[in-house]
Amino acid sequence: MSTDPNSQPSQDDVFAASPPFANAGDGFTSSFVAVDAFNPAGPQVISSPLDNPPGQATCLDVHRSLSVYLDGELAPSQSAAVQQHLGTCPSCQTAQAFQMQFRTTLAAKALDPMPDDVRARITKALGFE
Amino acid sequence: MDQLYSAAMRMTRNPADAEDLVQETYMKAFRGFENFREGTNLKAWMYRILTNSYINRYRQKQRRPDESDIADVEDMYLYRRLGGENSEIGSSAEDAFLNSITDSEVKAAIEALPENFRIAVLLADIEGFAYKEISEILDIPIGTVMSRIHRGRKALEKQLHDFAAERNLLPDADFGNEADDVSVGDSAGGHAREDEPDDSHTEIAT
Repeated sequence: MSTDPNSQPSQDDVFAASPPFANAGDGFTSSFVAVDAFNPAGPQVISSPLDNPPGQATCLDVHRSLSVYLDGELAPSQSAAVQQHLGTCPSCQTAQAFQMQFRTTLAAKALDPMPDDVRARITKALGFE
Repeated sequence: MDQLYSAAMRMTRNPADAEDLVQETYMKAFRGFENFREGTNLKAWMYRILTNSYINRYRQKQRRPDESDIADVEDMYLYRRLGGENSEIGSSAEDAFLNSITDSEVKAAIEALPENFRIAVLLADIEGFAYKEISEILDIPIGTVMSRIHRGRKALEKQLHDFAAERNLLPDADFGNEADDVSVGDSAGGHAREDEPDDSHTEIAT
């Protein structure tokens, strides 16, 4: 994984632009610290800037950000780092595959088709008949 | 109308209220259509009416004292407990779980979420709205949207895990020990207010 140690983090990402993540513009790792703010009472073991160079993601980073990554809402620089990690880490690929499949399953099984009699009553009440 | 009805079912938890809610939503939409601006996302606009109608009409009578509290669980809760970190893509335990959970269990798990988390997860995972759209539908900051979705999803995974455990659908091997060590549950006082991240981000992030 090639990384330019002199590269500056993007300031135009969703985290930097959003108040809860206003301090996330100072590097990749701190952004994941910000994501950890989701769970202030939870695990506090986080990547330090020394754990992984700017622009690189660890398995822990990926686990923490996978949900936002799959939502397509991760900052571009972070998304690229997660994508790069996923390209080389079979374990995280497995996690990604499961989460995607889980979401598909969830969406499919949570639906309630509207019964015909309900539809008929509503359309009548709305004057569609 | 089907999609709205399905969302209304998950919000109200019963068919009669869902029917009333959908009907009220359409009536308000027709009456207020002159306020709809071209270029606005029609689906998001309808869901905003639906959500506001639900909140105004049903929230008060359904609200429980601890409604905005939710237990914290670690990331990848379900995946870890299915032994995911020790398996290959498409492992039998994961596939078996996804195939065996029922529609009723999924619906019950969603409906078991406290209201704020339930609506956020519903809008994101079932209706497919982006964070910004959910922020506009619920009129809350994007950070709060992210917090509710993130924590709601984890609670949902835990509920589905518990359902599966009750039916003995989980693998025998206990792959969750490591996660258990850092999990903060009820007994450890792990409840956090749902809006905490918005207030605490600066302290945590710096």
